[in-house]
Amino acid sequence: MKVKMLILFALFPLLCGCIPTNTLDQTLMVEGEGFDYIGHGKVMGTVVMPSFIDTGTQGSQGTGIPATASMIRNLSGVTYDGKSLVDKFQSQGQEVMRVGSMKVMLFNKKMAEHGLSRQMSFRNRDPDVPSAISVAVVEGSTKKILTATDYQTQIPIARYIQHMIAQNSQQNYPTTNLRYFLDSYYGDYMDPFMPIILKNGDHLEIDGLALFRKAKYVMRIGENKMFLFKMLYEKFNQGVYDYQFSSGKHVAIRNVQASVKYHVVGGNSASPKIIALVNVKGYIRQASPKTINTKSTSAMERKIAESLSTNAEKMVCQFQKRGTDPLRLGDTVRSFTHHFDGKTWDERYPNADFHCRVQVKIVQTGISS
Amino acid sequence: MNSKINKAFQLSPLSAFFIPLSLQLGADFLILPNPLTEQSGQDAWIGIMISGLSTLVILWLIFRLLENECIYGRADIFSLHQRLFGKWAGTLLNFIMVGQVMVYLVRLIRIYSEIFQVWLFPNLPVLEFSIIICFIIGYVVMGGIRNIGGLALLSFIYMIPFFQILNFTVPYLRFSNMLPLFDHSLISVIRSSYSGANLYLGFELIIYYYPFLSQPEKAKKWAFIGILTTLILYLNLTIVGTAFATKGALENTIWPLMSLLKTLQIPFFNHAEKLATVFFVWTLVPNVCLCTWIITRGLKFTFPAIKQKYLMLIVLLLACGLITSITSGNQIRIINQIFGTSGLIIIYVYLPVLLACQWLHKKVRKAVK
Amino acid sequence: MMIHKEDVLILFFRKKRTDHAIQIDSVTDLFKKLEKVPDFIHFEHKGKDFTCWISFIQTLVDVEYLHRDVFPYLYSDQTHNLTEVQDQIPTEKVIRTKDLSLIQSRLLDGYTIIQESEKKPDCLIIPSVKIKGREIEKSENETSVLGPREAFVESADLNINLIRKRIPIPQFMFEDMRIGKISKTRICVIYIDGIANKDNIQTVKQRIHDLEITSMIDSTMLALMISDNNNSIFPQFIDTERPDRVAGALYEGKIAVIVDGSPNALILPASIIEFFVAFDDYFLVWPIATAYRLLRLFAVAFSVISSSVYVAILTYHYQLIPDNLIPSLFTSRTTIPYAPLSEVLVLEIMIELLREAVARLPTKVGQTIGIVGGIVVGTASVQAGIVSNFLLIIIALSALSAFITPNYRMAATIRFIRFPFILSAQILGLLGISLCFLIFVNHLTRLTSLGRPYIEPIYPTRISDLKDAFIRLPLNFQNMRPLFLRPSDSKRFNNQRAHEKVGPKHSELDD
Repeated sequence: MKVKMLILFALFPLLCGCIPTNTLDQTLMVEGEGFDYIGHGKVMGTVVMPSFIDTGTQGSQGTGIPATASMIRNLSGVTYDGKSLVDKFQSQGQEVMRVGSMKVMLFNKKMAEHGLSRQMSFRNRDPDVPSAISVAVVEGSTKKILTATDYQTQIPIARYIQHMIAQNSQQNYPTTNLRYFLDSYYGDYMDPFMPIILKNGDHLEIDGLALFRKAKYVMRIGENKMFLFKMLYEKFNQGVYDYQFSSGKHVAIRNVQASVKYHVVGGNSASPKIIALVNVKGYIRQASPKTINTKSTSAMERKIAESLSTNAEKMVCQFQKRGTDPLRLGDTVRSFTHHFDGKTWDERYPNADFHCRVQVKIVQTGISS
Repeated sequence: MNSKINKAFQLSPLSAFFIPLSLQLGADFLILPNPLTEQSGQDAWIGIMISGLSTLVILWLIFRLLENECIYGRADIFSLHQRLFGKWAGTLLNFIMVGQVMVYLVRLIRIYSEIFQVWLFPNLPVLEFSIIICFIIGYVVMGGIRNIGGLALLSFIYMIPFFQILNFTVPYLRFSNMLPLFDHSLISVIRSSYSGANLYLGFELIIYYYPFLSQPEKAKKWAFIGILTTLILYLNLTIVGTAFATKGALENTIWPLMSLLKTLQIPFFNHAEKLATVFFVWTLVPNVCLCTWIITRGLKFTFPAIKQKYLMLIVLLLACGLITSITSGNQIRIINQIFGTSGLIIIYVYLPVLLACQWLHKKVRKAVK
Repeated sequence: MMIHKEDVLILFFRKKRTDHAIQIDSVTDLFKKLEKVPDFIHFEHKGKDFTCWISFIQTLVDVEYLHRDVFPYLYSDQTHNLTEVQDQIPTEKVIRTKDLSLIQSRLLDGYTIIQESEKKPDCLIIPSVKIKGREIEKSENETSVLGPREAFVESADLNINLIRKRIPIPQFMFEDMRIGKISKTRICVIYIDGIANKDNIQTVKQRIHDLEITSMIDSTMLALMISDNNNSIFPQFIDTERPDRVAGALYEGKIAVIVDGSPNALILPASIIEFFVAFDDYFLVWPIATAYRLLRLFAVAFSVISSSVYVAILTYHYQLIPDNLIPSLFTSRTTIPYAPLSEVLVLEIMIELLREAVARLPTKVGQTIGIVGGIVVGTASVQAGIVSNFLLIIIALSALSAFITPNYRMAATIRFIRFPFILSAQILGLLGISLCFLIFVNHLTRLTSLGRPYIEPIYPTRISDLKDAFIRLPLNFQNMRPLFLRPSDSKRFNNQRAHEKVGPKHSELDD
């Protein structure tokens, strides 16, 4: 019996010899994808693979073949919208291409205006792609951003973009990645958004937020409104709000805590009343000379609060006009309303009455008085 | 057949906790809260609680049934059938019950092979996978019920770290998704609890291994605690599932829990979901082993002449054949449906009827005497 | 000295085998067989009134003792027959017997035989064994920083002495058995009466008694032969060279077995947890001891899994590699011409070669080889591009972790089970590792040690045993002996009193 069992166990390798391998060094790991819309359902797709700089083979002390420099770095070509780029470029790949460590997906503005629904449904179906990849809209061409070689930094471009977006979303920018995008895209009464990046000389920069209405780009909000947006969107603690209280005079508050609570009155009425109660605690490091001292903080607090709330209301008003709801106000109303009337929400949303009440607390003003 | 089981082959009362728990987990916890949200949206958690509580009642019924049976000899469903319905009808019923367990076995292996195919090895051949699993089943079942009990216990222990991964989801949860509470009518909640009820299937298999539990009184207590644990676990999963993603996003995913894991950033590794898949061997193997054991015991009861070893060989070969004959996802849904419906009929209709029959039988015999 | 004894035996048996007569019919026969053995002394003493034959094996006998304390009585004028000799010799346990097998075994143990005439079966057996063996030394294999240093030696009597002085109670029991068709090796089964489980004792004695062997050289051999599953690669009994550990085990209700000529005692039964317990855990305060135990557990898991996970991840699951590790892993892998599996196997086998070489070589040479192998070959193979330096770190660490296991035989097992894991990782990736793990776990749940479940505190679950398993709670919490052993007396001490004893309660604040 034992011998029989042993023989059977020895047969295992034969049973499963047929699973194809993905050996790490025989894989082209696609780290970034870019989509440039060129009209008529056609897309200029770009994929980037990292090339890890190495000093040649270790054994031959640098005289042998360069180990990794031989890896191709990017491929681009025209295909239809919604096509898997990896499948498209496989014939040009020097090794098998895999998307398992994808980091970033970029869309140019035209593509975003055209709509991302095909791309998103494809990504949502793919078990191999991580959901934490960064997504962004690009001013200009994604191909240019992904294939440019004149960056100051040497790290692979996809990582560069991902780090930049991740770093920023700890500050003024709201958390964005594929999952959040998909969540708002598929969810009812809410719309997704992405950061906008652009190439400026030899570096990249993140410049505002692109707002969508479902899968289509609608509008953008600028860098200066990011604090307002994030304040209304989620709890955070690293943002900076620059308040200009008269020309040439600025006070910047760096918040140690900001939280938002919503209240909704009359969720099923024609113009529901949405009240956002925002609480900002922060300290001041940057201020124009002689504008602030320990005595005048409470006056300053009031002024900043006022500026925040009027600007926030203005911003939401803009959203309502363009019919996009990135702050998930619709969902908030739903969560406050029993038997929420979802069918008429799209018509009621522009009429919604949004109020923002901000409380600012300056906890300290630095070490000089 | 003698009614007393040798003490050396008996399970400890604690096994009545682990075995139903591991059987209930099966493969269905991955699709939570999807079957329920369809009907009751954010109130899915009420549905899963109702169906969980109803299984407690059923478990109580089952224990009544088995305890009443104790005085007549061996207290399992096979002897009960033969005692109540005579040799032929009893054997037929036994076959039907065994068939249902067989469906459970086939379904579980097939579902897991699908999960492994989707999340780990797209090219994993079903036949080879099922052969390997069947070998392991053979090896485990040869060790007897105690061995299976041990694996069920270890499966519980190894699943603890898996469920600890859920702690990482806390920053992603949006509890506003759960609001407003109690927004659905009682009928839709009950309807959702009906579709959630087959998530609890598996605990009823105690009707087969009850005689093997030492100290049935203690075991009874543990069995209830086991179902309550499942209830709490499911409740947690449902809440995490609904709070994690919007309703629209949930509808677009087959395995919400896996998609959730896909988003998580855990230390040391990327792609938490692929790592988690590895744990599923531990929810799969103890369950299918117990099923095989039950089937072979049922057959042995009918054909005492054949050795259990050979019966097992036949069962496993048959299982391999059946598993490979299911080729498409659609067929998997169908067999899921068969299993769900038949299981629900057994626990909610057949077992209460059986209890009534048992009672009648007793009365009639008394009257005759 | 021991070696000589063995030589004699071997000579003796060879001769016997050529004669085709294992049976010896009479004392004369025995002496005739022994005649050719050079150190066998057999002579007739002719006194005035008393004549006798004296025979002994020179190399086993304390000759000085004979001359000083035995012969004077034989040669004196007052002795006339054996009875008088027996009465007069100032030695305890002088036996008079006709039992041939007793005579034979005693003679070969170093006793002196005295007869009235060469042909007469009636013999006087006088103990005159020369005890000369190794001095008691520090333990070498199971070293510890704290606690006793003594280690067992090759003499059973001395070993029992070492244990007995730690257990000065009358309940300390040991039973002598003689095992081996030819060798008749002395085996002592030691236990504390009233604590140890009677069934366990019976099982041990039965198993030892039923052995069908010719000779028994070492206790580890005995452990292999009486274990529940002879094919299992997991050791089922603990062998130790520390008398303090044996004493501790006896107090718990375990049974110890000592084989004459072996410097290791066996402790039976054993659960898997105990193989990862170092005895000095009990000498450290409990949080630290617990931390060390968990560290050891982690080390074992790391040692078993790490190289197979490397194979699985590099062969199938590149997605799992964290972002920042990809570049270094990638660059170190690209120069390697082999698949991850062969790379790992090369390095694993290299490490095993080194270990084996160092274990067989004299200490000083061994150290050199270790350095040469570890540093020179390792670095060179990385530079030559045969293995990646990432893997070198993993394998070196996993080899190190394997040696953390306090028990040598368990360490060997852990090193061995890496290979099935590596192969299954190649076949099915992480899924394969998981399935392989499941098979091993299933093997463990089936395994028993002396009929007791091998992975006891886990399955069947015993909460009171878990107090001294992965974690070690303070000693006053451990009021129960391991239930695993089903000891006759399961209570160690009164729980309540143990907790009361902590001392007067006071807190700094109240004072």
